[in-house]
Amino acid sequence: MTCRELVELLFDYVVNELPPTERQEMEQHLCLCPSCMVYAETYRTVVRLSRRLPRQAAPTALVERLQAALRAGEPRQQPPSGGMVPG
Amino acid sequence: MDDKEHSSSAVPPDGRLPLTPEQVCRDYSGQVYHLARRMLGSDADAEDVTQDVLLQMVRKLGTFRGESSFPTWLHRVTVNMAQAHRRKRAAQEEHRTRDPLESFLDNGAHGAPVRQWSTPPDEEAMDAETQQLIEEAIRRLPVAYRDIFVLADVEQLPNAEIASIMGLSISTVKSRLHRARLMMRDALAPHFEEIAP
Repeated sequence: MTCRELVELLFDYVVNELPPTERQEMEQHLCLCPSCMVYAETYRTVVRLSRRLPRQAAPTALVERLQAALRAGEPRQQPPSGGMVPG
Repeated sequence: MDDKEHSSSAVPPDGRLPLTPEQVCRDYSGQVYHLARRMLGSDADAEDVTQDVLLQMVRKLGTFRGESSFPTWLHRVTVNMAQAHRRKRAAQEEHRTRDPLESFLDNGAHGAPVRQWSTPPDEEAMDAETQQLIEEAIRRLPVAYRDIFVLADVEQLPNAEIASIMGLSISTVKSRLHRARLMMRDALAPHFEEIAP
């Protein structure tokens, strides 16, 4: 297995979905290739960091504008649930 | 369910009280904005799409039949709107990103040194600089790869759901996601690599 071939299989490797034979080949290669060992670790780091990105809240002004637009569009008569009546 | 009585509201999957337009805005504006912002890379564009999505959601609340879960429906609408918004932009900058697999030599070996990274530990909150680096790298991904990366590794949706939202096969989703991750790796490496002694 070449380094390029290993990189092409990383997606399935990191989620343990490689067939056993290929997995074994990869692990043998990783033991012998420090570059690929680091590459695989940095691949996992990309995924880990991206999943840690903080959730961005909608700007308060945007939410207020939307609320105002929705209130302006609501019909005069409101059903008990507060939802919109069919048109 | 009586269509007349509930034609103006949608039932979330947990079967609680129907959503009103105000609830939709309050409860889902953040989620929509967050996804749109990652896909489009611009606060202004994300605001436009968020407004369009929520107003469309409110108009279509009565037509939601529950074939898919409400969050999936929401993701689908947001992705479609963001993609449509992108297509309308006249001067869309096309990011040409090098194929990561081109860096390998003919014999399949790495074409450049691969160095360890130094990144903040998971226990610490992500600092602003790291966040900025990652967001910029996402923004520079080609759009076909960016959308899938955002849905998979930022929104953390399952591949099957992403395939459904994007109208792609699962194998295509996996292939593009893998390629996106390799591009992200190459984009972030110069910032995180430890300096060789």
